[in-house]
Amino acid sequence: MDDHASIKVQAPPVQLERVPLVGNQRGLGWLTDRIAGVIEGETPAWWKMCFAISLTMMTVCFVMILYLMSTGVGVWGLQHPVMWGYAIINFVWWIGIGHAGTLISAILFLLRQKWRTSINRAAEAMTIFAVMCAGIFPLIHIGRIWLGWWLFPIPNSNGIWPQFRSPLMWDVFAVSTYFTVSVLFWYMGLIPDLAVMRDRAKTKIRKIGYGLFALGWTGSNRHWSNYEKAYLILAGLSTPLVLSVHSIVSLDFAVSQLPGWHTTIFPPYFVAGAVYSGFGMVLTLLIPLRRMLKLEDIITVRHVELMCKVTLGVGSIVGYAYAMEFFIAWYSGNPYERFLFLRNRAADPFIIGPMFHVAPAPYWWAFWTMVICNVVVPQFFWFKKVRTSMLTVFALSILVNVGMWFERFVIVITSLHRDFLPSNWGFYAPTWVDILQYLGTFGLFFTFFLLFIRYIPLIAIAEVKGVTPQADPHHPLGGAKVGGQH
Amino acid sequence: MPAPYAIMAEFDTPAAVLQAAGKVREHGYHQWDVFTPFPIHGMDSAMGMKNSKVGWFSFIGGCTGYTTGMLMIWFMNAVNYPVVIGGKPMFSPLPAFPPSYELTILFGAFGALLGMLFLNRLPRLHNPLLKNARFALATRDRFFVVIESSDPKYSEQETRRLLESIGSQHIEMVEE
Amino acid sequence: MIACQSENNVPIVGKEMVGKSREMHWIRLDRYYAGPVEDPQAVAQPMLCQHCEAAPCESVCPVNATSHDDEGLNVMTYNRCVGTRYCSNNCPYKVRRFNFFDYNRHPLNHQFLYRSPLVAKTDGEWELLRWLKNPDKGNLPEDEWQLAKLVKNPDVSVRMRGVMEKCSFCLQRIEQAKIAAKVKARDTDHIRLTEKEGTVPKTACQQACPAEAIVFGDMADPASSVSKAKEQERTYKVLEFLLTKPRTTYLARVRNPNPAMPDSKEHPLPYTSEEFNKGPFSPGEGAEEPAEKGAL
Repeated sequence: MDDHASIKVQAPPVQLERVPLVGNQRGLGWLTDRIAGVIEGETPAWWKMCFAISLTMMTVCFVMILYLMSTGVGVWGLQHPVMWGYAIINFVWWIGIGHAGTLISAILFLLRQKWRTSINRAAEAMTIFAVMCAGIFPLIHIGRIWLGWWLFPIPNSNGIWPQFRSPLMWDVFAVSTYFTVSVLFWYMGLIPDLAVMRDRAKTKIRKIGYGLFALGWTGSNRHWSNYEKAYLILAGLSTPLVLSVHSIVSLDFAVSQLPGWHTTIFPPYFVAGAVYSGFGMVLTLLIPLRRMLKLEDIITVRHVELMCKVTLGVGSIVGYAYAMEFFIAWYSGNPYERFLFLRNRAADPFIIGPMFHVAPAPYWWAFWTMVICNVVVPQFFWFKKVRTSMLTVFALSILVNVGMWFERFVIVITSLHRDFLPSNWGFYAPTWVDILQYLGTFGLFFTFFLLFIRYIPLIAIAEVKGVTPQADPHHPLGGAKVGGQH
Repeated sequence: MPAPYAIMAEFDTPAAVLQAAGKVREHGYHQWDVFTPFPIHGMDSAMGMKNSKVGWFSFIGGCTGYTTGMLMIWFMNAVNYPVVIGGKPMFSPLPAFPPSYELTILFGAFGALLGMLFLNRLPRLHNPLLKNARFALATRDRFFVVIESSDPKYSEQETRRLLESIGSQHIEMVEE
Repeated sequence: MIACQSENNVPIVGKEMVGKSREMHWIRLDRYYAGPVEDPQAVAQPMLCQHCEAAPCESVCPVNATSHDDEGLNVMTYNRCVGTRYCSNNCPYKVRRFNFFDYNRHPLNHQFLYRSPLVAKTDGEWELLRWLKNPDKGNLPEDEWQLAKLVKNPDVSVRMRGVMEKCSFCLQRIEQAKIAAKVKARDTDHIRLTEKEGTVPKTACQQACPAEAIVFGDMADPASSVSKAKEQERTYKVLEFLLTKPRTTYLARVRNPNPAMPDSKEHPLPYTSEEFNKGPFSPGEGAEEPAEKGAL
């Protein structure tokens, strides 16, 4: 036999069974009923209790804001030289949390990750509410809050315009755009789901309410065609948006001269950190929700696993960024940078301080909390046992967010309180107003989130149905006859 | 009896409705549509539809946004009220870029959403199909092919026979 | 420092606020020590707004509240400032001060500064109502209020809470000198302030300093004492490597103690010339004679 005839043909490799995205082979009708059932059922007792608590906390937040507005910024713990404290820390923290929602919605969509469909609606809602909480802080932290509108390019009696070279102005545009585009994207995704609720509505109010916002959606394929194109475009726009928003927020610091702030690694470092904290918050919210609302077949263990893997990935990037910051500070030979990283941050009283013969840094505890929660904690997600244990993941996700809050704390406070001239050195301690305001924003967030899960489908019904095998015309469950022919 | 608005055929599986759509298109109907709870892969080509035009709306929106940003910043900081800030140039494309970039995305997003609604002629709150009780299943787990009576090839018996032949479970007339 | 405070209506903040580092002085004296811990030598360096040419504070203000004027000062526009405090964060010298409370309207203890006008009363009247009736009325007893008004310099605005402030090189005195020169010049063009004619004003700190350590004047005039001082070899700028290009320069103090003096061994030079030549960040930067130059 010559060589042409003796070409070996191998059998095609055995296809790996894909873990199904919806557990127990649930059908389209079941999915619709279960997700819509969350809204149509009776208000659970736990919802009422949580809502009461968060409403109280939200009221506390507003009362604190009134106190701040009427009395002055001095009620916070700020002092010379630490002119930015809890307000900016909380602002960056909340915005960071919001980034996971857009990443899940937009970036995972562009990467064709079908598993995003169970979590994207709740994650986008989380983004919107987190950005709302974040947006409060730049407004209230300024000294003359009633003149905050001067930050927008609106004609005023001074005849003067804002100064666009300032990163705070870029923030104004970035955060407003982020909020608006997130709302647009979220709403667009909601239109078919609101149509589902409209078609199931038993009371007139619900029918009119859902029907109004569903805009008369019928599920026409001509409409779906435009819809899918618009969805793709919005996802494609949201991806650079989410990358740019946190980069711009990081430029608030990076444009400054302070050691520890004046570094080019901030934009990617902040974006990675934001995604990290965002996924932490998504996990914190969805793990209890899937149990309490009995959605385990839709938000499956596999979804949680995949989210843990993303968290691990971005957490490792954050850890790398920390290492790089230290390395560059040392390598640069700049004594101010070296001072900052060693004496202001890393020097603890037990290991590093004695090793380098330096006094402990005043905020060493914040720095080391940050390092443990952001570098060590995500590494646990390498282990499948950890990823599949819901309680462990929940606990670790809370640590993720704690760590990220401390990261912002370390960045803002340690760079500010001891900088170039020693005569300027000071300390920062929060006041009760600071703390109550921060806790109050949780009230704001959870109030809106609880209302969201009560009245709006928290899972993207149409999208989840679309990724089941029952929806695939080439799959036996979708009606295809044997051999893929239909 | 008032003239029916359309004839509606119900299907159980995406494969069935996909096949049906192909057949309806082959028979040359134009005023018809398929209604599904989610977009079905391959339906656009089965229906003979062209690419969606939403992209143009978004593109125009994005260009407008970028130009608006740059022009606004140039006008405000270099023309209308120039102020010396740290010895920096009155207008520079570099610091003007982040706000313009954000406006690009903002206007592009509006273009996409509003373009989509415009092309879909939404909101359209009064639709004869929405009054039909059975049609409510279109958002749940059933797939519908609807041929409007205004179609030139529409005929009460012929169309009904066609729909029956392609495997519909349930055929209904939709009132106006 | 006190001269500056009186001239520019810098508010007094009270003991508690000073304890929180919220003092409002526009010029401060930084103390630097050299030599052994048991017997250090101290030197004071006045630190005030350096009026940097490439001012880091200006480019980060989102509302155009701080800028250069055409005569080379970094000016602060109080009525435009919304109080983001980014400028203070970006100032490497940290010479900017923020009005955390309404120091000018309230008595200066904890009870008054921290209480909210929404719930408090003055003279039996609800504070919010008092404010609505007359926003300019403070919350001090009437006779104290009249006295407080007398303390203030009418040429300088009084800043409300939430506004940043910093040294302005006594801009009000410069303007007065300019106006006087214009009045005297009538129709001629002879309005430039020169030292030869004695029309250049003194800043409050310069006027008060008994050692005449502060010199202020027109940097663009080569004959002014400021320009001459800047040409000296011992001129330096604080934090020069940050390239803020401050217009305020300092003169390094040169000491030449006589070795025959009895205490020359107990008080040697803080460093040798080798140590000095090692570089800007070596220990023992040495004693500096703070002689400050300003620009017109």
